Amino acid sequence: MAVDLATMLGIYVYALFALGSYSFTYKDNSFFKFAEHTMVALSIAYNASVAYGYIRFTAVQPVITGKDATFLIPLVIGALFIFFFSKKYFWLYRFPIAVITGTGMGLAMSGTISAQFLDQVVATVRLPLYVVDKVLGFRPMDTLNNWLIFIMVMGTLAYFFFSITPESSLGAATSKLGLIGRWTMMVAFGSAFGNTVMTRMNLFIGVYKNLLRDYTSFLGLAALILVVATLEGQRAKKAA
Amino acid sequence: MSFWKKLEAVDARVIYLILWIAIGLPLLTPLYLPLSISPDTVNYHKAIEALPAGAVVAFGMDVSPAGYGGELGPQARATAYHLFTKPVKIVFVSFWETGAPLIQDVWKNRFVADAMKDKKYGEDYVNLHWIPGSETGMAAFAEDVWKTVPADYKGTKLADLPMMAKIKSVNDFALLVCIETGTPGGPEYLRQWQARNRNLKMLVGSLGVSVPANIAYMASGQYVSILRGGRGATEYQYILKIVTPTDVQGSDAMTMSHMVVLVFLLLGNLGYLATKGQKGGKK
Repeated sequence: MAVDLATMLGIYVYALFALGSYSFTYKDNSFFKFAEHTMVALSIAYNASVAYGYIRFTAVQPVITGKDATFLIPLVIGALFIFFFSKKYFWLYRFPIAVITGTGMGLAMSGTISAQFLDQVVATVRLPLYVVDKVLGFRPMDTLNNWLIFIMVMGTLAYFFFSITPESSLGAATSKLGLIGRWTMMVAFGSAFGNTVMTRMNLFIGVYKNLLRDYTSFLGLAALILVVATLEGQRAKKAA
Repeated sequence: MSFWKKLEAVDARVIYLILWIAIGLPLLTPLYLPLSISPDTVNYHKAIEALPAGAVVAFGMDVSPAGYGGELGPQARATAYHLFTKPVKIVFVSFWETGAPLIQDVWKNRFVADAMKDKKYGEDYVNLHWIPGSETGMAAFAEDVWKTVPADYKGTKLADLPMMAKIKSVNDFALLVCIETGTPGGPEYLRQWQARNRNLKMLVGSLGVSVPANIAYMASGQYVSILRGGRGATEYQYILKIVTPTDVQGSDAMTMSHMVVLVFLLLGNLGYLATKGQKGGKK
């Protein structure tokens, strides 16, 4: 497959940084650090340039052309961020922070109560403990599933209920129910772990697939990393 | 030293090497390992199939390059392909600055490009690029699209994009497809978009790591369905009949990696039980 020079260069740079990043699995080395720092620098530069473009188009232009002078207010508040670097006027930096935190918290809280609290509670309370489908009739598996949800929710709530002393009979019963809650949480954490493994593996598979697109770059750079890793190892040995 | 003791002391790098080999094998040649289709993926497909002609769909490309390169890229491409085969209007948007340029990358996919042939930019689909402010940006967009986004990704004003004439706020959307890496993502859309438009249906393309969190919203009916990581993407591609040998290789590699992890989990637990109570073993 004929590849143009720009694409080839792209593959090599990609392979260089991908293998550099994964060389950490062998040991920490300067090659990895170079890849890491470049990634951080590029991300910041990219974000800054994109944000600058948006602000220029959305806020600065309307102010300059006189179309909407109200954008001057957020522009001035945003500019106060620069005082983070001033000891004398650091207090001015608190204004944009206060605006961002206040707006963010207010917006999030208003939606959280309905979308993430009430709706979840309502959905759990409404779970039928005897599921009958109009067409298929009694659904034993769905019924079992809903019973499990009911028991596990009650168990988890009981686990975090500390208002009754365990010495009382009610407290002992709550503790026993809390045991179910503990198991429920362990199952949930296990599921989360399994899904995390899936995501990490998929990230790696994505990189691996791209590396294998061009064998020469893969093998050449793998050899290069091996050399660097060996040199790094020798240097560390000498230093020790 | 017993076998189990030796196994306990094995260098982590040996495990990494075994993983490299296990994952690399199917990437060199597809193994066509069996893959069942989950009900969630079927429901995801059904929700898009059920869209009426002319329905407006928001396509939230809220991804990082890493997420896109792994699980979310195939999800985004398959969803875009499916939507482009339907007579609906699509508004591409991103609340992640890294996600916006990847919208055009989705369009470059050969299946998506084929499906887009009969669609006209500005009339059938638009790309509103990146909107800053994270959740605050989402709220502003939901309230007033035109004020939040004065122009599309090429700088064309919304007034010059015919399909945008009827899209003023979140109330004009019938469906939101959110391909999400993290925050802002599905829960933020719930708080700012669905809270304002209770009829808004939501589909979420999720990283595997976010699946347990997203399942709660699906069970409550707030999400119609989700795609579960890379596996969900391959299942969806199978349903749409756009699966390529490269996709099969990816899903095979994933299965192999899980098998290796499972074997090590099993060995670890067996080792723990075998050495439990032994002198120097775990109590």
